Amino acid sequence: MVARGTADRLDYHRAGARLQASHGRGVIQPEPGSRLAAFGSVRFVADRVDGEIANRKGVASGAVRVDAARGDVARTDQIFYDGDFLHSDTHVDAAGPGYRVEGNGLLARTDGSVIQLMDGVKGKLQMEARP
Amino acid sequence: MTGAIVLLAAATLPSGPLDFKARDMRIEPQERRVVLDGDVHLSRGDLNVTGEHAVAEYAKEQAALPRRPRGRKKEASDTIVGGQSVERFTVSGNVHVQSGSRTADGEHGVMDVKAQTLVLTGTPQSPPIVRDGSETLSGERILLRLDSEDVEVVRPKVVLRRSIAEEGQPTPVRVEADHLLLLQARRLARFTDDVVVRRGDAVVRSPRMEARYDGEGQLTKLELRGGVDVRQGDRRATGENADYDAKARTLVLAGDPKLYDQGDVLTGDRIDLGLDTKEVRVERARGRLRPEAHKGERGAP
Repeated sequence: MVARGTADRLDYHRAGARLQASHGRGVIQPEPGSRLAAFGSVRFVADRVDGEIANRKGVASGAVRVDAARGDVARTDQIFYDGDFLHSDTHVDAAGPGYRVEGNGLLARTDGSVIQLMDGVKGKLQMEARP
Repeated sequence: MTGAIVLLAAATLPSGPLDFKARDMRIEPQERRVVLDGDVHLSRGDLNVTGEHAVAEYAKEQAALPRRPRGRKKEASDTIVGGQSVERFTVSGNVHVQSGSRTADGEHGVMDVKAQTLVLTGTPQSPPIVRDGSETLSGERILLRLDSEDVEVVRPKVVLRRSIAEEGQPTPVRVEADHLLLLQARRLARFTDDVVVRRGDAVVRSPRMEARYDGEGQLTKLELRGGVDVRQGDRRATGENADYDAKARTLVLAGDPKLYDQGDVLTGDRIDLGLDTKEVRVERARGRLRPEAHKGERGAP
C-alpha cells in the first residue's frame, strides 16, 4: 500500500516521529489484488490529523471523509488508526454502490478484508426487480 | 367437508430501495455482498421481514464509476467489484414475514428480487408456516410470489377452519398433498399428488384436487379428479371423480361410482354422500344389499 498526502499545515516532531496536520488530505493506493483494491484508490480528508508514524498509530478528527474510487463515501467525526485497524466509536454515515447506511461505530482492517459498521445500523439497500 | 383457504398473498416488490436495520453490518465488496447481523429488519412497502442474520447479494454488474478528475489516469487499483443493486436476500434465524394481515414464519428465507419470490423453509420439527387470521398453512417449503400474490407449497398441510356452511364451531378440515399452488387471481387452490382430506371420521384420497373460492375467500367447491376413495367409518365409496359442494356439504361421486357399506355394494350413475347426515343417494342404483348385516343398528327393524 502506498499513501501520500498534503495539508494546510504540518508539524513534524522528529523525536517519536510524531506529526500533526491541519486540513489534511491523502490518498491510498491499495496493492493490486488486495481486498482493498476492490474499492480502488481511497482518498480521505480531515480537519486534523495526529499520528505516531513509528508506532503506526493516529487519529483523524473533524469532518473526516473517505472517498473510494468505487463510489463509496464515508463520513464521521473521529477515526482512529492502530496498526492494521481503523476504528471509530462515533456516528458513521456511509454510502456506496447499492447501499446507504448509518451506524454508531466502525471497525475496518486497513487491508479491506473487514469493514463493519456497528452498534445499531440502519439504511437502505438498492434492489432492482424485473423490468 | 367444509372450510376455506384464504389465498395468501404478499406485497409486490417494485424496484427501489429496501430499508434495513440491524445491530451490525459487514461490507464484503469482493464477495459482492453485505452481511447484516442481530435483530435484522428489512422493509419495503407493507412487506416486513425480520430475522437474526441476513445476507444481501449484489448482481454481477459493473458499478458506475465516479468521474475521474481531469488529467488523472486510470489506476491499476481501480478494480470495480460489486453491483449497484441487490439481487437476492437470504435471511436466517426465526424468520418472520408480515404483509398486511398475513404473516409467515420459518427458519430460513430467500428473497429473489428478479424472480419476485420469497421461499421459506424450516426444519421437520418446525416447518415454515403462513397465517391469515385463523387460517394456517404449513409445508416443507413455501414459495410466496411477490408479483402475482400466488403461493406454492411443497408437501402442504392445511387446516381449514372457516366455513360459510357451518355455524358455531366448524369441524376443522385438514388437507395434505405433495404440492399446492394457490392462484389468487383465479380464486383457486390446486393440490396435486397424494391428496388426503380429513374431516372428522371422513378421509378422502385422490391424486389431485382443486378448491374454488368466492370473492370473500370462502370455499365453494372441491373438485377431486383421477380416482377418488372415500372412507367414513365402515363405509367406503369410490369413483373416478368427486365434487364437494361446501354449501350443501355433500360429496357427489361420478365415473363408475361404488359404495361399500358392511356388505352392501351399490353402484349407479352418481352417488351423493352426506358427510354429516351420512345419508346416501344413488341415481339409477343397482347392487347388492345385505339387510342382515345392519341388524341392531339404530333405526333397524
